[in-house]
Amino acid sequence: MNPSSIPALETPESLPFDLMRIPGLGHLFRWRYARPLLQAPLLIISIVMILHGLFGPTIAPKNLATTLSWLHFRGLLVLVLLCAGNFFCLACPFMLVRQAARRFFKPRFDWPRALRNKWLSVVLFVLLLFTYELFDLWSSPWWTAWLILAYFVTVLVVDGFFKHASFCKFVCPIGQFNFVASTLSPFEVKVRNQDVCTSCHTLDCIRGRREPVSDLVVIRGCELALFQPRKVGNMDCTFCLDCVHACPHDNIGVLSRLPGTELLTDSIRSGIGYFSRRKDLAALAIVFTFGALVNAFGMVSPVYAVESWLGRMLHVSHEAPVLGTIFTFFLILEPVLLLGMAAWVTRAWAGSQRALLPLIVRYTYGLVPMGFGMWLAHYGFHFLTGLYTIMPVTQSALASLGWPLLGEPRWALTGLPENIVRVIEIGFLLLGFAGSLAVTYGLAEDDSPHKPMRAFIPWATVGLVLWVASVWLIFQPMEMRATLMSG
Amino acid sequence: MSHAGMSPIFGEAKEVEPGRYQAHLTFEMAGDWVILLHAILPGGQKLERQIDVRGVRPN
Repeated sequence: MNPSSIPALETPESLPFDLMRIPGLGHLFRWRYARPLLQAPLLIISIVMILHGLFGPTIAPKNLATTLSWLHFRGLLVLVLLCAGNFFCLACPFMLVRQAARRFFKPRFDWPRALRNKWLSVVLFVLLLFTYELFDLWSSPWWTAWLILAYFVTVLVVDGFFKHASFCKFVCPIGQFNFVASTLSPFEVKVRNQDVCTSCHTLDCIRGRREPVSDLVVIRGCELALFQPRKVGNMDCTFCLDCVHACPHDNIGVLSRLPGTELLTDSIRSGIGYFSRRKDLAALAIVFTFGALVNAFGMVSPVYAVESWLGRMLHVSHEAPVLGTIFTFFLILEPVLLLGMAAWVTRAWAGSQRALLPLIVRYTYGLVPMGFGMWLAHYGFHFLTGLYTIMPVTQSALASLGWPLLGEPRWALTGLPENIVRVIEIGFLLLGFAGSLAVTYGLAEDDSPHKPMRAFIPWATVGLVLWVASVWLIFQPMEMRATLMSG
Repeated sequence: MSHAGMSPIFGEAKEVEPGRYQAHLTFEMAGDWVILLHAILPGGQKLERQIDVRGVRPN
C-alpha cells in the first residue's frame, strides 16, 4: 500500500477545538431554549431602540436607536464575525418574533423556485446601502426606528407565508452580510465524526427529530436546507443550532478551522451547490467587497465634491440620481472593469481554459477578505471611537423618563483616541489584504498548477487596487458626522 | 445631521456685556453640526435651544 494513501491518524492535538466542549457554554448551546434566551435581550433592546427612535431626542448622538444601530451593533457584529462566527444570526431578535407568530399562523407556501437564489437579497443589500446614504440614516433616529420596524414586519410577512427560513436564506440583507463575512470566521457548525453520519439513518439534522408514531417534528432540523454531513463552511448557516439539538448522536459541534479556507474549496455544498457555479453568490461577494468601499466613501469629504460635480454634469439637484450614478459606477462598472480585465489577463497569460465569466465568478471570492477588512476598519472605527457613548445616551434616556438612576449624562465620554484606532484600522486592512492574497493564490494554484503566479498576479493587482483605495479612504477627512454640545 | 459617537465639543459662554453672551468653539470636522445651548434663567428655569449649523467646510 502506498503510504500516502493511508489516512493520517487524528491525534487529540490535531482535532479541531470545539466550543461545545467548553463547560457551561456547551451545556448552554445544547439546551433547547438557548436561542430564545439569547434572543430575548436583543428583542428588548430592539423595542427600546424603536421607542426611543420614534419618541426620543431627534439628535442622533443622543438617541439609543442611532447610537446602538450605527455604532455598537455594527461594530460588535463584525468583531464577533472576525473572532468567532455568525453568532448574531443565532441571537437574531426578528426570529424570536417570527417563532412566536408561527404558533398562531403556520406558513403554507414554499418559497418560489425562481427566487431560490441570492439575487433578491443582493438587490436588497444594495438598496439598504443606498437608503442609508440617501436618507442619512445614521443621523436620523426616526428613520432608524422605522427601518427596524420594517424589518420586523418583513420577517413576519415573508415567514408568515413561506415555510422554513425563507427570510434568512433568500431575503435578509444583514443575514447575507453575515453569511459572506462568516466565511472568514474561525468557527463553523460542523459534524464531529463523519463515520457517525454514515451509519445514521434518521437524518434528524435535516428532517428534524420526529415522534415515532405520529411522525410529528418535535425538534426542528435545519431550516436552511444544510445537510450537516455535506455542509461545507458557514455560507447560509445562521448558527441557530437546530441541527445540534436534533442530532440524536450529539455529533455536531462548533469547530475551529482556518478562516477563509472555505473560499478555496469548490466541492459541492449542501443547500448551495458549487461556489464556482453560483453567479448570484459571486454578485453578493462583489457587493460585499465593493460596497464596503462605497459605504465608507459616503462619509468622507471628497464624496461631496463628486456629488456636486455629478449634479452639474447631470443637471440635477436631487441627491437620488447622483447617488444612483455613484452606486452604478462603484458597484457595477468598476467591478466589471477590474474583474473583467483580471479575467482577460488570466486567460491570456496563464492559459486558463475557463471562459471570462466563470473566471470572474471563481476569483471574486478571493476579494472577500479585502472587503471584510474594509468593513472591519470602517465599523471598527465608529465602534471604538464611540465605545462609551452608550453610557451618556442611556443616562439621558433614563433621565428623560424621570428615572435618573445612572446620574447626569456624562457627554464627555466617547471612546478610544482616534490615533490609536487608526492603527487598528490599518491592521484590519492589512489582514484583509493578506487574506485576499492567500485565498487568491490558493485559487490560482488550483486553477493553473503549472503557472500559478501568472493566474495570481492579475487578481492580486485587483486586491492591491482595493487596498490602496481603502487606505486612501480611511485617511480622508470625515464629513456630515459631528455633534457639538455645550456643557 | 450628525453621526452618533463622534466627539462632542463643550464651551461655556461668558457675559461680554449685559444680556449678551459669547463663546468660542472650534468645529473640528467638516459637516453639519448641532449646537445645543443650555441656559439657566434668573428664576432658576432651565432653557434648552438647538441651533443647526449646516455645511461646515474643511479649512
